[in-house]
Parts: sequence; C-alpha cells; structure tokens
Amino acid sequence: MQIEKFYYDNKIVKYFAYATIFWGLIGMLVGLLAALQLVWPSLSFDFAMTTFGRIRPVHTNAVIFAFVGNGIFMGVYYSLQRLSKARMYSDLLSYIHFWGWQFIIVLAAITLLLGYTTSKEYAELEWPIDILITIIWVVFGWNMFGTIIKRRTGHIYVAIWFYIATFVTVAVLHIVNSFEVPVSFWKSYSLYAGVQDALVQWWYGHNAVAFFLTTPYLGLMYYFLPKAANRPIYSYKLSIIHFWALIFIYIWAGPHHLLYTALPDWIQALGVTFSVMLIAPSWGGMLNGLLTLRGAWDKVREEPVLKFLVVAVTAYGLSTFEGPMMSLKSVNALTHFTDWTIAHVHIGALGWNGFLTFGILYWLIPKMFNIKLHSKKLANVHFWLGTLGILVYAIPLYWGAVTQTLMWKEFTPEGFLKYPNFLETVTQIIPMYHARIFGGVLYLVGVVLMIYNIAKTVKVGNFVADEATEAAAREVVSPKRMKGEGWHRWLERKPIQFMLLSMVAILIGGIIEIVPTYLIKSNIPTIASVKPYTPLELQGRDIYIREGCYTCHSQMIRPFRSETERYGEYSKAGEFVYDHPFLWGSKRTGPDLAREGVQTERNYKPDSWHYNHMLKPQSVSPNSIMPAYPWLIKNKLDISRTKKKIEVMQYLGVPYPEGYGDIANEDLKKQAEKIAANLKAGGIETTSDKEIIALIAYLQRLGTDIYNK
Amino acid sequence: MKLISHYLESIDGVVIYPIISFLIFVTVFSLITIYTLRLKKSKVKEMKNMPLDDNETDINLINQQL
Repeated sequence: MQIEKFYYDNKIVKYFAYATIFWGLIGMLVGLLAALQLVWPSLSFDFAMTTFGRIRPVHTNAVIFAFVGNGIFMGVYYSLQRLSKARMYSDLLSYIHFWGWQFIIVLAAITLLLGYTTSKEYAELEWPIDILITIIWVVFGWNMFGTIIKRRTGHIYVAIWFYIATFVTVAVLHIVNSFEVPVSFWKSYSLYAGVQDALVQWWYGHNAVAFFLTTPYLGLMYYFLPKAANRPIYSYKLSIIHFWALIFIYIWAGPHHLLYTALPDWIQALGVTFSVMLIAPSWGGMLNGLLTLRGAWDKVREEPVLKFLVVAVTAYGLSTFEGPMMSLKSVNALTHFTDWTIAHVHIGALGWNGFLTFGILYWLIPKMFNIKLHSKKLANVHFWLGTLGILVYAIPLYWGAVTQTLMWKEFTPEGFLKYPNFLETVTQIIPMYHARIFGGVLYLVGVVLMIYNIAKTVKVGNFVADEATEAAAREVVSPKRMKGEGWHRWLERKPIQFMLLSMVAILIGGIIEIVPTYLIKSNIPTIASVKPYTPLELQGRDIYIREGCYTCHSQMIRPFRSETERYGEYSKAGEFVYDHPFLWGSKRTGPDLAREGVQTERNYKPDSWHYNHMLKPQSVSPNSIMPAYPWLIKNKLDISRTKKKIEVMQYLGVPYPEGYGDIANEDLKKQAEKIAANLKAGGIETTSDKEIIALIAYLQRLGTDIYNK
Repeated sequence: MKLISHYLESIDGVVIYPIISFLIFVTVFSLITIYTLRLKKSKVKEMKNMPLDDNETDINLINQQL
C-alpha cells in the first residue's frame, strides 16, 4: 500500500478560532448592553444606532452567525481534514470562505445598526447580503465536498454526515425564506404576506435553530468529545439513529403540530407514540456523549475541557426537552411572548453552543500550538463562572416569565383584569432583569479569562501552520455496491450520493411541509373592509420596521379572554393579507399593538400622546422602560421612494389602483397635514413632513379595518 | 395556533400531506433502525475509532504523563 505524505492546514483553523473568540466577545458585549437597556432605557442614549430595537438584532445575529458560525467552521475545518486524512480541497476557497464570512458579519452589523432590516427574526439582513451569504455558503460547501471526495479513508464518519446535512438544509432554508422584492439597494418587501409570511418565517426559524445551532455542533461533539476523552464514542449505532431521526424529525414532524386536530385518529395515536419515542434521538445524542465518559469521570474532575463538554451536552439535553414541552398548547399559552423564550434560547446558546465552543478552544489551541494550556486553574475558574452565569441568567428570567404571564391573566372577583396597566407587569419583574445582567456579566468575565489564558498560551507556543502527516492512499474500490456490502455502508463511502439522498429527504419533507403554506393564501377569507395601507401609513410602517419596534411589541391578539380584555378583539388572519412582511413579533416587552388605533379599545391614545411618548416615553408613562426616539421628531420623512414602494406592493398583489404610485405622495401629504393639524390642536407645534407623522399614521391605523363598514 | 391551523385545515385534502410525511418518516426510521441493529460489530468498531485513528501525538496523553 502506498503511503502518502501531506499537510493539514492549521492556519485556517486558527483564523476561524480567533474570529470565533473575537465575535463571541462582541456579540456578548452587545447582549449585555441590550440587557442593561431593559433596566435603564437611557442607555439607548437617545441615538438611533444604539437603541434597543437595533441593538437586539445585532446581538442575536452576532451570536448565531458570527460566534457560533465561526465556531462551526473552526471545528469543521479541523475535524474534516483529520477524518478525511486529507488537506482541505482548496486553500483559496478556504480563505475566500473565511474573509467572505467576516465581511458579511461586518456588513450585517453596520446595516442593522443603520436600520436596514427585513424584520424577519434571524433573517433580518437585506437582499444584497442574502445573496452574498448564498455565494459564500456555496464556497464552503464546494470546499467541504472537494475534501470529502479526495479523502484517504474508506468511510465517512458520522460527524461529517452532520456537516453535510447542515450545509444542505441551511442552503434550502436561507433561500426559501429570503424571497423578497427590492425597493432599493437596502430595502425590500417580503414576497409573502401575513399568515403565509409568518408560516415561512417560523418554518425557517425553527429549522435554523436545528440546522445551524444543533446539527453542526452535534457533528463537533461526535469528533471532539472522543478526542478530548481519548476514547471512542459510546455507541456508534446510536449515533446513526440519532442522525437520521434528527434530520427527519425537524423537517418532517412540523406539519403534525400545525395540523394535529385534522388528522385521523389512528395517525394521531401513532403520532403520540412516536412523539414519545422521538425524545429518544435527542436524548440518545446527549446520553451518547455522556456515556462516552463512563468510567472516566475522574478525568472530568481534572480536565476543564471535559467539564465544558459535559455541561454543554447536558444543556443540549435540557433544551431539547424544554422545546417540545413549550410546543404543547397549554404550556405555550403561558410561555409565549414572555421571557421564558429568552431563558430557553440562552440555555441553548450559553450552555450548548457556548460551552462546547469553549471546550473545543481549550483543547484545540494548545494542540495546534504544541504546548500545554497556560493555566488549567484559570480555565476551571472560567468553567465555574460560566456555569454560575448561565444559572443566574436563566433562573430569574424563568421566574419573571411565570410572574408576568400570571399577572397578565389574573382577573378580580368582579371579572376585571387585576393588572390592566401593562407597565405594572413590567416593573414587577425588573429585579429579575437586574439578576439577568449579573448572570451575563459572570459569563462574560469567564470569557475574558479564557481570552487571557489563550493569549498567554499562544504567546509561548509554536504554531504549526502546516502539520505534516501521512496516510495510505485510498484503495480504489468499485463505485458499485460490493458483495456483502449493505446499502447504507455503500452510501457512507459515497459523499455525493449521500448528499443527494439527504437533500432529497429534506426537500421532500420540506415541500410536504411547505405546500399547505402555499395553499393557505387562497384559503384565508378576505375581509371586505381590510384595505391596503395609505402611502403615509406604509411609510410609517417602514419606520416601525427600521426602528425594530417588533422586537418588543407584538401585533397578534390571541383568542384568550385575558388578551381580548386587555387589547381588544382577537386578530383575524384576513387582517394581515397586505402585510409584507408580517409583524406579529415574538416577545412582549411592551404591550401588544394589534388594535392600537381602535378608538373604542382600552389602549387607544390620541396623536399628541404618541408624539410625546416617542419624544420621551417616561413623560407620559412613568417608569416605562421604552427608549426615546427624538430623531423621529426631527427627521424629515423621505418620500422620494413612495412611488417605488407602492409599485412593489402592486407587484406583490396589493390592490392599489393602477398608476396610484404617481399620485401617492399627494395623498400622503394630505393625510400628513391632517395629523399635523391634530397635533396642533393638542398644543404641539410641528410640520407635516416629519417622520413622526408617518409613524403616528401607521399606529392609528392598526387594527381599525374590521371596524369600518 | 388555532388561528392558523383553522385555515390550514380548511384546505381541500390537506390532511394527505402530514399523512404522507408521517408514513415516509416511519418507514425510513424503521429501516434505519433495523439496519443499524444488524451492523457487524467489527465494522462498528472500525468506524467509531475513526477520530482517534490519526498519527498525531496526543497532547492530552503527554499532559497526563507530565
């Protein structure tokens, strides 16, 4: 057998590792700022770019795509080369991938801070960046498949299956959810509207969590945990079942949840059985990780790397148990729109993704630099700070969420809401927000210690950029199935077929899940009185999107008495048919706004109230934690794109009269004059050409259509 | 959410989609499980050792010896 000498590319791994650390720090710092702003709204600094509504998407995107994203690539570039016994397919592609991804992150941060956003959570980036992401993702896939194809090993280890599934599925999700029609270079409207837009968005959201935050990290777990413990994974068979079950569950099981009540009884019964069985694969994954360490727990006590990995895997188990629980109708009625969701995702992000990343970094850096870690003690301190940080972060938020949701739902014996003022339920849980900040700080201090520790290690280490190794050339075997070879075994050595098959699995599943979503459009009963937004309201809506109002305010009144009492008539699907994009939101830090404009409802406020509220929320609503938006009062509304916006809406099927774009600005000005006059009557001097006028027009339109005869 | 599922359910024959998806899932899941359980022990051992089977000196081992 011919032995070939070749070199692993460690430099690209180092690059991604440094990027992971850098963006992790930035993402967490921005998260800390957001947490501080929720207690002290003045920390939004009365400045557009540093306001919570813009900071929050920067935080989520930085943590998901910059921190975890680079973490994925770091782990993949290291493990893929070793598992394939081959250098990456192309150094050029590696570096295009690396710099392309960093460029996307920088662009994302800048545009989000400038208010260029689609408002679809975790897919906020505007269309030019969406295209760039697609290109760079293809570069990554190309490089990965090239490496797998030129590998020197016979079979493809399970970690690589997870990488392949990640690549394929993220590509599909990203493309389907990003269909949008540009208005200008940095502004677009979603192709979908209302209910349909919401379905596509959360099909994306749910699966993005699965295939960006979960499957690639499971792949990393299946490589780095055995490496760090220096023993093979507990059960390889379990890992095969884990893989296929996970891929299928996430993509296929979706329709059950939405359509449960319409299914025949026998399927429902089977469904319940399987739902229970299906906890097995994710817990199977967790147990597989933990059991790998059986008989080696003494090592865990001494090795911080293993400690991090153990807590990460445990957090994975907790999250994947909590998630299905939260999808139960009765549980969801309580937890939705509260801080429960925030706590849940942080168990995942801080525990699973964060700790797995730290564990890998502590293992990888000394290894690549040929030296021992500078200080194990410091890494242990990091471990305990981080673990405490997660607990101090999450537990108060769970507590606050339960408190708040119970307050929302509490009635007096006479049948009135006990806490009719939403703000009361917010001020009640502010102490929990303080505790959350403390938890976050603990976690962050741990990360700073890690950076110091790694910097010290790197300083004295000897980095080997090209690591020499040798392996036997791969035996050329028949591409056909050999005698006695099972079909799965055959598949395991055929990467392209493997990719195609998993792609087919995902596509068929995806199509079956998404077809009803496409059919739904014609099934939503139109409400005759629901009309397209006026040009001024449309402009106001775009300001609402730009300022990220949806990060704190929902527009979806659920059919519960506690909600209809508080906010008014529950929301109807037919009310959203012209909403490109939908703006239902996912969290109520402030009250729901779906019926904000309805004069007969509890929440109605006059124009002048909105004006003062935007200028300084605390002047009309003491103790409010909403930031101020003084620039809306000063800025002139840009009406140069009104025509284009109307035309794009027409293209999307919104029934404005033909040629309306040409006269839209006349109507806009008339409506603006009216609002300005209204404000003047309320003692407020302003001109009709300000942004605040458009925003007020939009807010006063919200939820009113169904009351018009 | 009731608001949505109500409209989804009103689509003609929509129920066929989750049924198809469910049946394919059950079939594939069962096949994979059967296949996995029947795997030969020696092959499994070979595959599960892939991450450890490299020519690198293990820094962890060195660390432990130090």
